[in-house]
Amino acid sequence: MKVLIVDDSSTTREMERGILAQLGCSQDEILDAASGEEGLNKVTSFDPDLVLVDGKMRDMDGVAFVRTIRGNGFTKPIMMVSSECERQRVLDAVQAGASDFVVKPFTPDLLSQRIEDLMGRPEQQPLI
Amino acid sequence: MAVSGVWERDHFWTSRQFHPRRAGWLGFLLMDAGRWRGQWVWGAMSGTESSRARRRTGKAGGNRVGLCALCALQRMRAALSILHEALARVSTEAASDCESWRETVWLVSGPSPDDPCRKSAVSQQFIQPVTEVIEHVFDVLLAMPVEVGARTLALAGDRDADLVGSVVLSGAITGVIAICLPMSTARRLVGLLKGHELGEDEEEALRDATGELVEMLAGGMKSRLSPTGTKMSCAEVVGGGDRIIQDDGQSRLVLPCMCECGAFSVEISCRLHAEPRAGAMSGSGSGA
Repeated sequence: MKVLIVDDSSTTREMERGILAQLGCSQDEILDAASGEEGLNKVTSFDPDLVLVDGKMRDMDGVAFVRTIRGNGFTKPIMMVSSECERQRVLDAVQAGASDFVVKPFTPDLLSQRIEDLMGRPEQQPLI
Repeated sequence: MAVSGVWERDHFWTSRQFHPRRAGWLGFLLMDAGRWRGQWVWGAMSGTESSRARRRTGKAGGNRVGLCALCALQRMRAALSILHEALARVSTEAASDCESWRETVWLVSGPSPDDPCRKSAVSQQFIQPVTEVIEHVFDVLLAMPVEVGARTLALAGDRDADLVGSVVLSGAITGVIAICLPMSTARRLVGLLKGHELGEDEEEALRDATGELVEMLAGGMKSRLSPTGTKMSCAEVVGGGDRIIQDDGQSRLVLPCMCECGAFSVEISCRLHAEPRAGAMSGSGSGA
């Protein structure tokens, strides 16, 4: 499973890498991007099976990122990981095309479970 | 008078230059850069003292009662001496022994009844939610309990944190929330997060993790206090000397915290509005 992590925090990227490694992803299968712009480029070049995207980055809002790559035709699952968890925020993310929404802080177990659930979910089944 | 025996009451003088409020409140924060030793010492020239001094001068109305600069210095030295002794005592204790720390170090149970933040109903609204958020973030992220002490009022220039991460809020909540970390605490926290001890050259990792922490605190606080209508900026992390707490006249609360990794504090300088304010920052919110 190829995973792209888009987050401007190296701490979060490192944590997510560790969790993905525990799920069986090799280091070659995990690519990360430190900005929204870099993430947009890597979505095209890497063609990941799953994208983990931060809800707030310095150069781009997570919702805008999701909307952009969905607009570019990306159909694989996207999980938004955000420290903002208001109802409207979640709705905006899902409406933009996010497949799941995880609130920071998260435990490794929680994120692992959500990724497993998401990747095992039938493709057309919506989150809500 | 929070620190008994420090403040003598017979060295007041009259001066037209001093205002009682300006000279009467004296507080300072002494925070050990190593382990948690944050503590407030409040010295207050109470209204009673001011009145007594005013009576002693025999002048009413025109003259203001101030604190002789020399006497103030002497008293500050005495207070520092007491604090130094307290720190020496505490340095022999285990850092994780929170109860012991609380009993021996916490010299001040809280601000005086005249504390402006006690009078601020708005500020009070933030204390409980932020306390809950701090405990939640540390529990989930690090599986670590945090003890949040009695809040105090920050004074301009009072600071002994090596790293300060802050997030600006706008909309239904306006203001700043910040986490202030001594370097030793930051290193232990980030080391735990990353699963290895940090090297000397990993300051960027410290700043990054500090920013993440304060973003989680800000996100949790605004979701508890304002389900809609508040936007937050990305975190800014600076050295303690360059702290960027906005101050538009509202009181700034300091929540001193203690965890196994050491001491830190969370500062809140926020105001809760009934309706979101016009002109909230753009581009950092929902984006929808």
